[in-house]
Amino acid sequence: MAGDVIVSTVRLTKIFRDFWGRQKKTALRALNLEIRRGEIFGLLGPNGSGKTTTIKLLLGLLFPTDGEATVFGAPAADVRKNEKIGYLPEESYLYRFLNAEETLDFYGRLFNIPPAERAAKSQKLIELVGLKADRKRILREYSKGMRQRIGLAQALINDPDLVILDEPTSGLDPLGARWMKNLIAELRNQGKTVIMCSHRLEDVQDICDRIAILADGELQAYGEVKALLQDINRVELRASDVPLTPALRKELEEVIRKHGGKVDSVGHPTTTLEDYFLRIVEESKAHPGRRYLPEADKKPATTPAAASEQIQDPSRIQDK
Amino acid sequence: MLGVLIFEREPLTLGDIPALLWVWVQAIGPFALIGMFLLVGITLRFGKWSLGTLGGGDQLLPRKWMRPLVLVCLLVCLAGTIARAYFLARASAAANLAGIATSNAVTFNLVASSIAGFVAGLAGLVGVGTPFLYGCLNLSWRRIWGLTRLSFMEGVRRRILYVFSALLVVLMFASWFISTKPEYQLATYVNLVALAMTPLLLFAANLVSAFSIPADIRQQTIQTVLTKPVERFEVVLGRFLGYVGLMTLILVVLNLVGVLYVLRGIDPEAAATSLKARVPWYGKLAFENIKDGTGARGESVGREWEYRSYISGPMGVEGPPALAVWSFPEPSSTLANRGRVRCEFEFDIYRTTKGFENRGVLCSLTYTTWRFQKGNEAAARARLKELEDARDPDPVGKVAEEFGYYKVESKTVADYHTEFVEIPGGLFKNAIPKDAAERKEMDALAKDGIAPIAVRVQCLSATQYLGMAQPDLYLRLDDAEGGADRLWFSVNFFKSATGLWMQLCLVIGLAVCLSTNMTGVIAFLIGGVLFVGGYFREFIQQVAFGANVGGGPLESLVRLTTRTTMNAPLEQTVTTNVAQSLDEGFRVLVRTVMNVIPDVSWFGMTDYVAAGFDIPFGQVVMNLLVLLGYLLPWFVLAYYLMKGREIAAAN
Repeated sequence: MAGDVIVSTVRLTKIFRDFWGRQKKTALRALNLEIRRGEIFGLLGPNGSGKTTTIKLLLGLLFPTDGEATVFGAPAADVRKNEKIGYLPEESYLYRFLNAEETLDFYGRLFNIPPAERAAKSQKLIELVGLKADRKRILREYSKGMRQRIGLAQALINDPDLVILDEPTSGLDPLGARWMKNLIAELRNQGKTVIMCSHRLEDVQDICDRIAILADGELQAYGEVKALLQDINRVELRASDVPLTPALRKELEEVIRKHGGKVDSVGHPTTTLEDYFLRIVEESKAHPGRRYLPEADKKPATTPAAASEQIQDPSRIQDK
Repeated sequence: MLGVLIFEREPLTLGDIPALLWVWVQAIGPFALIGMFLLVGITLRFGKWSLGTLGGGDQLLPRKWMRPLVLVCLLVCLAGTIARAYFLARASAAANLAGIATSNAVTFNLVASSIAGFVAGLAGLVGVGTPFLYGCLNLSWRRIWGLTRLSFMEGVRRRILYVFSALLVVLMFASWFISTKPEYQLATYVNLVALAMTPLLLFAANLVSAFSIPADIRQQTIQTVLTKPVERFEVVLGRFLGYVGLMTLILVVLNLVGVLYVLRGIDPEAAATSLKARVPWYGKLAFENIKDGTGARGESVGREWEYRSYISGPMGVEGPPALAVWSFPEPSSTLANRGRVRCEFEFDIYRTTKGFENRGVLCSLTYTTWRFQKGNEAAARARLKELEDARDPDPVGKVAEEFGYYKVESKTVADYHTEFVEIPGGLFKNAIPKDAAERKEMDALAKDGIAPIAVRVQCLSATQYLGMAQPDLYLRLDDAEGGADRLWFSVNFFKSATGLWMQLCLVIGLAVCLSTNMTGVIAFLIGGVLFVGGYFREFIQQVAFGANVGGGPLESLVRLTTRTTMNAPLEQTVTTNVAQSLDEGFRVLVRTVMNVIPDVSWFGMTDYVAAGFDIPFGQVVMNLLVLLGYLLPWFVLAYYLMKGREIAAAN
């Protein structure tokens, strides 16, 4: 049922101590969180803010100094809860002497999945993460992105209800990062809950339903992304099929002023670099052999639109 | 020396199990006590805190009922340990007083301390073992098998097998440097193969297993594993079984190479001595007519090694001859149905005069059963002559069966050569009782010192001595002329490999358990030191019980500084008394710590193969039990260390 709380922490605290019990660092202080079924939850924060500590506490890899964490109603240290969890660590900590098939077979065994089912799932996941051609290569020969993909596959081998992803787009190129984000969204569509922590804020903004921001082990902000990012003191207006003339700008300013406001800026919206990059890559696939002409061969572009046309104009693209 | 086995310590038999268990439980006590102190301490005092990388009691004692149980067991164990120390102290005090009255007090206090130690150990076992067993209920063999395969594949893919090619180099060139007497050839090759294999395998096993879990933790691969529904102890078992599997495979291959190496081009003399798997039937040795003797030992000829004792030949003094008597229990019908049964022996010769050149020492061997009537020797001889005159096909066998008597009048004994006598099977037929009444009679006679079968050995050479220990004479239960010597030798060769296999299990188990909470280097070193310490266990035991010459470390220091020799009694001064008292405390500590050191001498079985003796199956089983008894507490410790460890804490 949507809205069920499946992860809960109450005053969860973690203090790292040395062997003699002397306090080294307070990694997490009295964290109260609730994560609901079917949502994508983002954990944000600078390095050392306690994101990974929180995840490791939830997974039972660390023990709380105080407070408690429950996952699916069970204490975090109870290994039986792991039946329903898939975990992708920040670096793919996998055995590099195994190949992709053996890796998934090994982790499948740990879930007591029967051999035939294990083999079928492995093949399906290898195809899903795009490693079919490399399934017999040992992981030592994989690039970081490929290891991240097989890492994701092992996290999904048990068809988990809760997927915990630590920096899932780390090591992936923009195409891979987009693929990963689409996959995470797809997991949510399947009713799974996703907890992810990431430094790439645009990733979090794109796909997370709710986020928590940590700094120095303390919770600083917590809630729905839209609500947290909404600036109720500002108004944004977007329009299409109308040229931005001085007259239009003047009229807009007058209307805003009439309602007691102040215009900060009026101009053309810019796309994100990620979208622009993806569009270029897609087009290069559609037109194989195209390449960008050197600056000296181009006519000077007078407007951004003309510059864009230069790239898209077939006459400006030289075949190899 | 070939042909006989030297047993400075009797091999373990299944009958030793109750005594071994009693001692084992007692030895567990002090360690369990420390363990329970830590468990209770972490659970009650520290709560959810961590001690080093050891985490809170929630993980170590996951059920509420476990905490009071451990607390009660701790108190019982503590009380038992204190009681044990008290009774031991009283026994020690009583032993210092002279008189028979105190001897009973010593016995009483020793028994009481033993019982108290057993109770303490039992409480410790329950306190530490119950949460462990409870945790083991959740283990899944499929997951353990997955982890075992992983360890196996890791070993194979990391190409550690290449190390073992070094053995081939040793075997290829060893014969360049070894020259032996022909009869020693096979034994030398067997020992060479064992000598080449043992350190190589043990070192590799220790190295691989000590670094496995620490590497997993350092590379954080263990985090991906432990976020699956995997019990932490499954990782320990998986690693252990994986490396044991790998080493077993290597051992089998190396043994195949070894047996082929040993069996190529055997000298006939070596084959006659060692290319066998004799199944010996040992009797019990006693001595008769020894001057000032008690029956348990023969004469001493002043040899430093007191393993053997001696009987003399005629010395020109009136009196009955000195005899060595081996007593055997009732034989099996298999022996009785055999035409001939071989009796093999090898005695040490001690000469007091030069004797005759190129001649050994003569002895006679007399075989009698419980039915034999003393004084019937002449009648037996007469019957033998009668049968021989009548051209009976087996006169000796018939006389033996009829009288329960067979004598070899004279047999030459040569140094370092196994001699044998073929005994008629009729002797054994005579020894088997025909009904319950006869059996009763036989048992009654056995109580009076007349064994079902007895072998009496007398030295016939004047002024010479023959030295013997119990295993120096035996009857062959296997058929000496049965053939298939190569096959049985090869089977025995592999049986002896079980000894090395158990040593490998021990090293791997020790290293894996230690590595659950130590770095690889430390686990490797401690495991190695403990294992090597096992070879010096006898000496450590002597130190622990004050049986070594020169006293404890402080007494030795006093001797060094006062230039007193090791055997000389020390002058009783304040310094000496203080040193000896502190040494006593040191001994108590060593006695406790000594149990951590494995008794590896049980596992060495190469001597059996080299001497051509079958390794009894019961001995293999007992060795396995000893191995389990040693490793089990280590695995319990590993369970707690792994369970309580914060895997993702700073490494």
